Amino acid sequence: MSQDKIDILQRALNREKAARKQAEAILEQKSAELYESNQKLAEAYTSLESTFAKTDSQLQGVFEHIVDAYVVADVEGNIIKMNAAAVTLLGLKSVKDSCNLMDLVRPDQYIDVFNAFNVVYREGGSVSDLVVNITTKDHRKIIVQINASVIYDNGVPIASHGIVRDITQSKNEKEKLIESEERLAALIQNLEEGVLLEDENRKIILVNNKFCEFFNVKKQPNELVGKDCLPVIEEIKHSFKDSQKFITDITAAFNSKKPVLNEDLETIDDRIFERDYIPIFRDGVYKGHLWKYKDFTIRRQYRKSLEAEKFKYSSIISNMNLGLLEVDVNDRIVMANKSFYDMTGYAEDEIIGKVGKDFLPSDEDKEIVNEQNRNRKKGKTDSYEVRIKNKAGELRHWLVSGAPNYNLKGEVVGSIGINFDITDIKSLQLQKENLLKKLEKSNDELYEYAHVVSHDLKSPLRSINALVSWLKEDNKDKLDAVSLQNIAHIETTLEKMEQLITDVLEYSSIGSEDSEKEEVNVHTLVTDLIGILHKPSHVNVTVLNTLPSLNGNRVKLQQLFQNLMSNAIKFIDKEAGLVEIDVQAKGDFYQFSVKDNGIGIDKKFHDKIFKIFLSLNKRKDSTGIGLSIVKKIVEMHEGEIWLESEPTKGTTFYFTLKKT
Amino acid sequence: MSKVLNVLVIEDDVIEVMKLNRAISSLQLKHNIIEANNGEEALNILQNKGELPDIILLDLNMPKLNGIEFLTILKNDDVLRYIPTIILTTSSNQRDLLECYKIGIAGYVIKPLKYEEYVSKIERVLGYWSINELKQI
Repeated sequence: MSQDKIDILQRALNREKAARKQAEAILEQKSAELYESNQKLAEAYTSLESTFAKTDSQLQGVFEHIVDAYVVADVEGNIIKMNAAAVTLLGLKSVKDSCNLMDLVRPDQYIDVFNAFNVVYREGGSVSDLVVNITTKDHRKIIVQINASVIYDNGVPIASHGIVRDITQSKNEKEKLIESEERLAALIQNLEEGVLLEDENRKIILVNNKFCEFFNVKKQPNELVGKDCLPVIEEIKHSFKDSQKFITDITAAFNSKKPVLNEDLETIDDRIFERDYIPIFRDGVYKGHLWKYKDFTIRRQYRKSLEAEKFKYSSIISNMNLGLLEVDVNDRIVMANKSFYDMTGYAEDEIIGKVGKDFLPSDEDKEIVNEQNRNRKKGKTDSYEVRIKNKAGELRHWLVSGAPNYNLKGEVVGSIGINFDITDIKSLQLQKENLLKKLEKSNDELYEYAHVVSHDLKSPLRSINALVSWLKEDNKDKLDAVSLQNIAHIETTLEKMEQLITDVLEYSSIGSEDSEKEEVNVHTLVTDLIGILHKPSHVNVTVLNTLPSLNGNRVKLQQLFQNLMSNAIKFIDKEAGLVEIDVQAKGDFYQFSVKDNGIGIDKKFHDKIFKIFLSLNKRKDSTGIGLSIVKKIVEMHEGEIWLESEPTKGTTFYFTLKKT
Repeated sequence: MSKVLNVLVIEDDVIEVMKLNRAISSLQLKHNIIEANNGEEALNILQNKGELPDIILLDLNMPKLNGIEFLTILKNDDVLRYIPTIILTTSSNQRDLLECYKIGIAGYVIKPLKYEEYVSKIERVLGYWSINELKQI
């Protein structure tokens, strides 16, 4: 072994010895440090233990004095310990009072509560925010929230402790809040307006039924919540007539972030909408916006038809041929139509604001207008005639129909008059009245004239008669038979002449004489006549049926029957003459007949015989007026007369007389 | 006992007056006939209140003052109104008749065509009034 090697080994050994010594020293030092540390740890533990104990009792004090109810209960639920707040909450008498918590739980929640605690006892952990309905010892029903944890002894759960908080009030408030939120939601859903609420990112927050209904949105409102609104807008734009404008308007409004109200929109099916855009800001920060759509179709149509109606009436008013005038309570002219200006000759600016009654009515009729105006203020409606002076000063007759004018409160604010110019009608009426008067007068004159003429004609006849009779009387012995015969002819002629005058007078005075009608018993009248009439013994006059009573002129009716009956008798050429009088009721009329078996009348004369002065037979006792008088009397009684006849066999005259 | 009457005849027709006179004479009556040709003349005669007629026979159709006008004046006179006035006329006009009775007349006789009938009517009218008591004037 070389020295070198020994040296090397020696040096290594020395180094190792030194290192071991150093390590031993370090170990020794570390050991001392460890001990020291251990000592310190023991000290710390002791101090920690005491601190813990202190904290525990502090904590206990806190539990006892905290505002919330603090309860410690055994696994059965019997209260072991509680604070004053718990006493109050649970309705107990004092902290010493005994009570099982499970007895307070509403029966239907018993199982839930039991299970919740059971789990915690078995598996550890805690009960948090358990909401339980309980009935307190003093019988209050309250809702409580329980937060509890388990207390272990040597790893075995022996009890639980926790906080019981009365949340009855906040629970109720929460329910109320939910309720009102639901109500609000229902309200929005059922609004008559379509509502679309978007957030700042144009996501739909809310949309209601009406909106979907208005624009035929396929999805349900709740399906759209949270979705982007743009697809919806794209979907509904086709509902509008100008879909492009719909989009640009929306974009413009969205960009401006300023309210846009009452925008008109028209759909392709002619509905009209009004749209409001309302941006929503919270604390000055834009949070979204609300679109509101109102269906104005019906209201707009109503307004349109109202306007059309108004237009119609105003056009009627301005074009009607009646003057319309509206005045206020002070009789100042408020409005007049075109016809009114035409009727008066005044222009609009000449009469608006003026008091019409001051210058329109004629002086004589001002009082009529004043009285009517007073009536109008009392609410009376009336029509009256009044004379009006037009601008040219001409007098016109107006028929005025006036009615008070009311405001919406029902107060009289003036009156409205419809004026009709009746001047032409009036003058016609006056003309008619004048004509009637004239006619009456001339009839009267004619009557008088007929009497005067008859007097003047009869007087000479009487004189001639007197003179002739004196001639005859004074020359009784001087006149021969022929002369006496001639004088007799003169007398007969005078008689006929006088009869003629009497008949003409009679004829002309029928209808013009004061002919008062009365109830006439025709049967009595005719039977009396049969007694009076001169009739040959071979002629028999009979009445077949009882004749009625009717309303007529007794004298004229007597003359009627007398003329017909004497005519019948006069023209009988048979050995046994027969005149029959009969009657038949025909509606409003009685149809009488006078039948004879005389000479008859040829058909061609049937019309002529009623004409005046037409006598078919030249007889001294016939003037040719008798049948004309008969016809006139029948007509005076609104009847008709005709005849049936066969020459040589006889004639029947029929005539009708009105029953009343 | 019939008395003699003073009869005022108001008549414009000469022949009518002749008829009356002849009738009275042929009937051999003693009545005094006072003639007036019209109403005016009659009123003049009646001015003399001392010699008033007992009765008046009045024609209606006369010139100047006609019968009805005369009658109206007569009936408005306090004295003359008591003289019975009988209308003697050709007029069968009902209006005249009513008007006359309204004003006040004592009779209305229509002159017949035949003279014989006339005489008989006159006889009866005058006979009737000659047996009547009249107001003493």
